[in-house]
Amino acid sequence: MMITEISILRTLLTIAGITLVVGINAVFVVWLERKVAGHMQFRLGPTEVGPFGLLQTVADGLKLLSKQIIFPSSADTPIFILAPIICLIPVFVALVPVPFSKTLQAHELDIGLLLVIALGLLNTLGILLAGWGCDNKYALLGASRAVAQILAYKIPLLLCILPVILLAGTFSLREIVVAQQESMWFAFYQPVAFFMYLIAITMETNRSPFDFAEAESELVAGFHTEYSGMMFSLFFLAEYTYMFLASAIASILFLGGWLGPILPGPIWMLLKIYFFLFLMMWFRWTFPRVRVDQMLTFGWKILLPISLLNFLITAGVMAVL
Amino acid sequence: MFESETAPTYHLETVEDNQFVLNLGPQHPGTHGVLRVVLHMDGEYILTADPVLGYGHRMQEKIAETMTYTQVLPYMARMDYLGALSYNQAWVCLIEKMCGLEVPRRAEYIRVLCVELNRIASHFLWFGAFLLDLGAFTPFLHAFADREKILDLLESVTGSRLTHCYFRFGGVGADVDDDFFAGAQAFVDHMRQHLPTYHSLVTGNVIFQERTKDVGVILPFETWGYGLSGPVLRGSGKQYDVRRSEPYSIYPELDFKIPVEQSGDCLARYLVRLREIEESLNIIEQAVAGMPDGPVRSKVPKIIKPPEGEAAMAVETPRGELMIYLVSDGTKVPYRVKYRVPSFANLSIFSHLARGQLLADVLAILGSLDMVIPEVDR
Amino acid sequence: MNLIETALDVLDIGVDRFDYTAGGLHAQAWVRPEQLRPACRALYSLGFFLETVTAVDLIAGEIMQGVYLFNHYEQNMRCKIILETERINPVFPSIGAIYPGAVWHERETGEFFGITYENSRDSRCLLLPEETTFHPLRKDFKPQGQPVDTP
Repeated sequence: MMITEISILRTLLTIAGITLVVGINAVFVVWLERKVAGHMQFRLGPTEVGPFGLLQTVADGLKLLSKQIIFPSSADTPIFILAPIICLIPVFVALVPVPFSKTLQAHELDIGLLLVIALGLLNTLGILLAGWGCDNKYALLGASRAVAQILAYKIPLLLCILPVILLAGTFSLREIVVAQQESMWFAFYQPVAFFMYLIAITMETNRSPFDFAEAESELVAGFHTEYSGMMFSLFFLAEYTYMFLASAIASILFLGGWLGPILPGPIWMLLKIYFFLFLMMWFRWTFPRVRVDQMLTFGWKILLPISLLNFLITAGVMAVL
Repeated sequence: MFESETAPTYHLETVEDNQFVLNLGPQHPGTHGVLRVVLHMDGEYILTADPVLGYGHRMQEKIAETMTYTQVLPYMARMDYLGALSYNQAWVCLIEKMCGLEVPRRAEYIRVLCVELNRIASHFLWFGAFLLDLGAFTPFLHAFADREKILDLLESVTGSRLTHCYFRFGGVGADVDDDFFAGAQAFVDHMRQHLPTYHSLVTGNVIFQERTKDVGVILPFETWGYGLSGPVLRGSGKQYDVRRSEPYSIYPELDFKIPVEQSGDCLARYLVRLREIEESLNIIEQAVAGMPDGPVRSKVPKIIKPPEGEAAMAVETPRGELMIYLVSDGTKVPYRVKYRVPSFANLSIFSHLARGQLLADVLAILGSLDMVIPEVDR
Repeated sequence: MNLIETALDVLDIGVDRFDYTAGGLHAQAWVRPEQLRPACRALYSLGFFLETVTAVDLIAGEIMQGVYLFNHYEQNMRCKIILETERINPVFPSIGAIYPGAVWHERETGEFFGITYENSRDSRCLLLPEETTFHPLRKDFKPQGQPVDTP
């Protein structure tokens, strides 16, 4: 591909667009999380700043920006600084191949899904660096938990995606949605994979009931115990963006992405994404935390066999048809 | 069986390879106050756990030796701030027993009513904090919303929301009005409707069951060596409740059961406490229904001077048996006061339970013991 | 013959009965230091639970009194075991090996009264700071009026 003015402009637009999506999403999701939590707990959540308290997150963000960043004296400073960045950058990049409608997409890639999965793995590297770099035992415990659980959910997650790829016959995220245009949404063909995928992304995004990497009552704040100010909020930005990304992939793979009647495509896409986000919040505010070994047992002994079986059956049926 | 145990060594120099020391607390969200636990860990597993106490120590027993009997009374609420009225009751009952003071029946009824309300409030706080230890946030606020109703009720009677000082020698501080009874009855009706929500939100939850079942099992034969009492004991199949075994006040006349669970794990202690809330509701209802008329305070001498001698008085606080042992030399100042506090004994089994457990389980165990650190430290 | 008498009879320890309604105690027994452990073992085997281990400083008689209170889960039976020694450098045998819960009580009583519990498996300070040299519950202790540095 030649570097032309058009391609440079497109890249700049992509960066601006993704930054906008990430920023607005974080502001909105944090607000939504607090509202959902509030109403589940007989409270109102934020009400003061802006209409319905919508600007509360902006105020919080400004506060976090203006706070001093404290570096622990025994921290490994380069790693300490690098960790939140490594957490955040991959999710930015992973948003590139995500289509919000047939035409609204930063860049179409044949292997878009693979790229997203590969970049998603880097999140754990960021957590590991954070836990190691700040020389804190709680943080290290949290990081080691995050690393220990990665295979327990990643393999079932991939095994849930594979049947969809078999059905669609492509790795391109756009083509997967297009494939659902002609038939039904893949959630109806693959209910088991859909359900397993939901559980797996809850684990992947470190959300309760699988939030042991930052288990508040056990590890104070887990891997980000020592982080303060803007660096702390970078982790949060990464977490909420990661949730957004995982929900976007879920709606593309199983709920037909932008497909839907009457409303325009991007609106449908966002509605589906926020449906998944709401589900995750619902889990978080109603479930106690699972223990680490229970989660590993669950991942290896229940999720993995079922998703493998599901994949084999799908492959068998596809071969016969 | 215990004699073979060797002396524990908790010093940093003895840490071997692949082990590390974790200081849990004194500022840790899981330790409910200023408790510090020195954990020797191998990965996520606990090798030894050594609680370090004394961060909230105020030498209450020495304070009591320097004050008159009346002046000691407000200090009682500062030990167990969640079960303040039980402590009030222990002290006034002890002095009444030693001096042979009469208590009007209406005062006894009001005392029991307030103490049981206080017990429910304490169990609510425990319920929320325990679930918070397990990582569930929402039940905490549900419990606090209901606890708030009790605090409002007690505030209208005692004037304070937490460190109540309401009971007096020979009665209570002031009479209560009908609004209070109506409020107590309304609370009972509300809780009867709302308690099933607690069970459907928490008790039946698969994750909750997995986290608490067979975790931190206290076997029945371990109980008396550590002197356990309260729900911690009753979760292990021992039906011991001071309200029944050493009846005081009007408890012999009331109809209530002592909930007991056999399995001795965190779930058993949880269930015992929740069923205790129901029994306390029954007691409140009976106390409101049977409330006699009359004075709330008998005539007592201005200066309390118990005769020379000694006495012990035990009451059932929300956490277990509180026993006050008093040696009097016949003056207006106590010669020696010993508070036997339930949390202290219940916490002493913790390091035995924690050995070999996962970190997450240790915090569940710590939560299920329901200790109040200022009470342990005194 | 009540449960306490049953337990202590074989050890030839006399038991005084008390009026429970007046003082909340059922009985008491005076023991010699060498009798304490056998007595506790007998009480333990009958299921008596340890309520508390404490001491009373009888400064008038120059006596340090060790007080052990036991009770029973099944039947209400509070009994007091008393042990006496002189006030200067008092030494009591430890019962932590019989009643594991007694270790904390002994640590607390030890630091408050300056009592040494022999053969205790843990004799560090419990509630007071580690380097404490005073014993606040001894009757000749006067509060110094100056806060002591805590770690």
